[in-house]
Amino acid sequence: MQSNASLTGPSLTLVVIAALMLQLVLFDRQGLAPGDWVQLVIAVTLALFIPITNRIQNQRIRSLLADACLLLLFALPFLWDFIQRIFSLGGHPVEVQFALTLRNLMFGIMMKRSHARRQELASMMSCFVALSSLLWLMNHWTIVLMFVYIIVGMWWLMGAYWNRISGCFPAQSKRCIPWKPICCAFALGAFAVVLLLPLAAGKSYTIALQGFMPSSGGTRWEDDHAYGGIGSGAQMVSAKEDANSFGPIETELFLESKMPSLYDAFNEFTEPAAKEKIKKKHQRAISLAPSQMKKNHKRRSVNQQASREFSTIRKHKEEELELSDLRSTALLQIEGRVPVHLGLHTYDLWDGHNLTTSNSVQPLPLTLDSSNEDGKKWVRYAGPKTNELLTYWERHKIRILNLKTNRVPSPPNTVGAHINKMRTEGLFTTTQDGMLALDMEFIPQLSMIHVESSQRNAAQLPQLIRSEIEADLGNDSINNLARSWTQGVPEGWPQIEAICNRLREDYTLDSQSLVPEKVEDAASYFLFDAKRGPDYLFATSASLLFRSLGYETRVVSGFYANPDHYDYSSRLTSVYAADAHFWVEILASSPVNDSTEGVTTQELWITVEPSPGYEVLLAPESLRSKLFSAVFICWQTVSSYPLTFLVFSLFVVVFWIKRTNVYDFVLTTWWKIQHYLGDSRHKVIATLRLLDRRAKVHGQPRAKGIALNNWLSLTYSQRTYQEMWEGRFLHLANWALYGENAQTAYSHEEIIVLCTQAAAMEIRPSKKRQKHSSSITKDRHQ
Amino acid sequence: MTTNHTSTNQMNDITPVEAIKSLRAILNEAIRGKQEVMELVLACLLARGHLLLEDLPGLGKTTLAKVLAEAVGGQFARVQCTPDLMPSDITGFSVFNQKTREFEFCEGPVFADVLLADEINRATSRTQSALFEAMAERQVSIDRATHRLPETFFVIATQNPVDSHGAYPLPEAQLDRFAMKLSIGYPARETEIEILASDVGKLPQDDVHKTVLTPNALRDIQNAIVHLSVSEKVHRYMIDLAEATRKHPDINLGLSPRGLLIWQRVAQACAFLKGRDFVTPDDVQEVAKPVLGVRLMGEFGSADNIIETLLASVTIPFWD
Repeated sequence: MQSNASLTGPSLTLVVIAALMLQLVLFDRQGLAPGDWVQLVIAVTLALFIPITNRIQNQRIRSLLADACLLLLFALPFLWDFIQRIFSLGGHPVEVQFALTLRNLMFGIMMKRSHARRQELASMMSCFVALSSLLWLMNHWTIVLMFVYIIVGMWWLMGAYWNRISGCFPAQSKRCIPWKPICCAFALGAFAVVLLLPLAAGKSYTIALQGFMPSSGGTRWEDDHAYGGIGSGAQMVSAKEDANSFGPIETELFLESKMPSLYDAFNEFTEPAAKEKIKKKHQRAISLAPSQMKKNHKRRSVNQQASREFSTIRKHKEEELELSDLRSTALLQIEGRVPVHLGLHTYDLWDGHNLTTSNSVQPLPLTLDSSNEDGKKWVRYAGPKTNELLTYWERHKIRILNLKTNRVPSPPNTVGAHINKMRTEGLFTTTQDGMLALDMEFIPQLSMIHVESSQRNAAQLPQLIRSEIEADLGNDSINNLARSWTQGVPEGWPQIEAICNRLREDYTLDSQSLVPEKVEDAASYFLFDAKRGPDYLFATSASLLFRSLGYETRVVSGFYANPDHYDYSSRLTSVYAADAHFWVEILASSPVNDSTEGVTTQELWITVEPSPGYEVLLAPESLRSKLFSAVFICWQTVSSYPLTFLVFSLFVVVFWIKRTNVYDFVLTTWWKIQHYLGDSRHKVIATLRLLDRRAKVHGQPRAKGIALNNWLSLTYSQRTYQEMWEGRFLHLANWALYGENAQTAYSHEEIIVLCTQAAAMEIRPSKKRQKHSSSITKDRHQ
Repeated sequence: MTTNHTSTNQMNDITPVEAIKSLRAILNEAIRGKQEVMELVLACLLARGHLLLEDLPGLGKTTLAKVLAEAVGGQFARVQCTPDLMPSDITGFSVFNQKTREFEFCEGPVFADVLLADEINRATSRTQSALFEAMAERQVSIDRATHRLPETFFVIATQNPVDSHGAYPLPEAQLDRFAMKLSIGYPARETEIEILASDVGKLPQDDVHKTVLTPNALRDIQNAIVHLSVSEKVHRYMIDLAEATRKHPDINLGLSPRGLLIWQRVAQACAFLKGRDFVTPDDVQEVAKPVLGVRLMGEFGSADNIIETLLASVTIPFWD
């Protein structure tokens, strides 16, 4: 059976996408591990060797070699993993080795041209590989690739269906016993029985099929290279009846623990030592009814990775497992839109080396608001709520894992906070520098705090407040620099943007860069000498530059919830110690509608990000505004580089008009390379391929049922056809394609000349071709 | 029934290529303006096949058979098939010799080198079946004795496509023994003028055609054709086509393996006639209509269209 040429492209695309997705998984798990790339190169080389075996005349040796290649491709991941483990070079869990085997096999099958259903088989394998890869790694890249895969897959399915109904005809109807489906049904039934047997014995699949997927969890057969989840399934979801571990989740169940917690319940059995310890600290806590607490007489594990979402259909195990702690290196996790700046401290004084706080901020009083739609009680800052500038309300859930502070890492313009079962606002307080905090020594681990903030719209620029006092820093060089950077720029927000852009473009962020001790003013050293430094120098310098222009600013330290750390499966962004960050906030005023005082103005701090590589969270744009923004950006780009755009446009237009010539040139060049490499037969076939591809480029692809002579006479112009064909090249082409053991009458030199002449043939214009084709058809009918 | 014997000349000094060239020229001279049909007739002869001519009377069927028989230096025999024609009228019969007191076998026309079975569909099925063994195995079994036929035995059968009253359509088994079905058709206007002009002043005794081959030389050429190489790609293409005929909804009976073998042999002969020593898909396509037309049982008159559809739908292997 012939493989269908029209499906080759989509099938190959599916295979490549699936392989790419798997490679992304490997890259995500092990980084640029050379072993994975070497294995990929070996697999591709073996696969490419399969079509080369077609040149072998002896059919037996040919098929033997091809099968050996497939076998090697199958065994390669296991062998390679074995070698890598011996030399401690890493390894992969079994399921990934299976996926690699599938990948290698689909490469091989795709290349095995003699295989009747190679495209179907390779595409099916690619589906498994792509889905597995997506399950293992769900990030922007894999999702985009999966999207492309689905589109190409739909195209492939349509093509396959079309081929089925157009290329093949339905078989004759005849009565016979359908042995094939019956056998398949029996085989499937037997397989199902085998799978159901463990259930009948009262065992779960994971235990009954122990060892099949040793690293997938539940089998107690641990693998050092497993991606995680060994027997930890029950710990990953919130408990409804029988809690066995602690996690950063909101639940109605509470386990007795000696660890610090936001929750407390009176317990007459509490050990005196523990009681004393708690008394000493005078921790505030949310009181719970004793019925809500489960007594705990043994050590329970801590799971900082909880709230993964996966099916919980697994059978409950009767025996209690000794669960180990599942720790995370993250300081906290945040659920909600990212990137977001989570502020902890503010600084408004700078002495050349240190940032300090003047503690001059008047903290706003906090009130308890129970009028929420969800019925939960929120602590809110007292004061006006409707602000024209801050139009979008954003909510984040913050899980405290390893952060030891009583300050709540909160987004800019936080307006409220909530903790499960909270009944009074007394739990929260505001610090001297105006940040939200809990009224305790530090926030206990595994606490979950909801925060609500308001974000400004990207299109609305705030009215900045300018201080009447001139720059009080007395550093003329910084003043002059700020003025030179904002020369001709209108006052207000454009000046802020101009300074930020200069800092982001001309300065390098380098967290390892240190300021020498002898330097008196680190900001000046950064701005004029080093031009590189960590983020606090960016923030401080930006703050000083803004102040020199008269704007009220402050530096804020905290964490930057990086979108690169977003986990699609848990929908959480982990924040690590390395995400500690400094940025600038600038004072702005905005009109406010107050029910009692009417329209007034409100002062608010707007986040500004001078460090390159960091972005500010803005209110999500509507599709319309996104489109407008895109058009505006395009227009800005075009108007910024008119000459480049003109040249590029001209190039694109010329390229489009002359695309066939360009492609023809590429084809001819490739043909020339091939032409000088192979033997006589290879030269002729290369020439025929060139003619075939050229015809395709010119919109005249070869019909599948048209023979060589007719195809050439229909496709290429009559003049060249008569001049060069006249039996000579046609005979040569037939010999190269079908005369396996036959000798040609032409010498090597004659063949080169004939091929060169043939390669120079002109394509027949399509209208003439149609006319010629119809005349031929007419003649045939006559 | 008439039997016409012609003398055989030894032509040992002529090469096969020249002989084929002369044979082609003789056929084209006898049947003017039908070069393509004559090529196919030649291919059929060289492939050791048998030819079914479906044509109207007076278009040169007998002439073609006679000329061919004379050109290959063999015996020509003609059988006019009628409903009362008996099988022994074709195969021959045993006669009791009063003198020798033994049965003697009298050979029928089937023992000729070229047999013209005119209007074969007029003969009864029983009589038609008498040709089965002769056509397929080149032998005749009568009274427990097997009589070998010449290796170059060639049957040209004709049938009238329009007058179907009182006719016995050829069964599928009989049709499968023919290599191809051809139709000579009316000549073009200019050709008819030529035919008329050349017939002026022509006497019956002037109809003597040259002999360019001996039966042995023809046999050698036929044997040489058998050895022409056919690549795996061409085999795959032919099998794809055969499968397509078996799956086509408008074809009641697809191509049999015997039909496939005959097709390959005719394609080999076609390649030989073009001076090639290997077969290409062009050859397969060129002989597809006459070869498949005789054995694909479908709706009347639809065979050509179906074959064209099949040829267009099956991919020709190029460099795959």
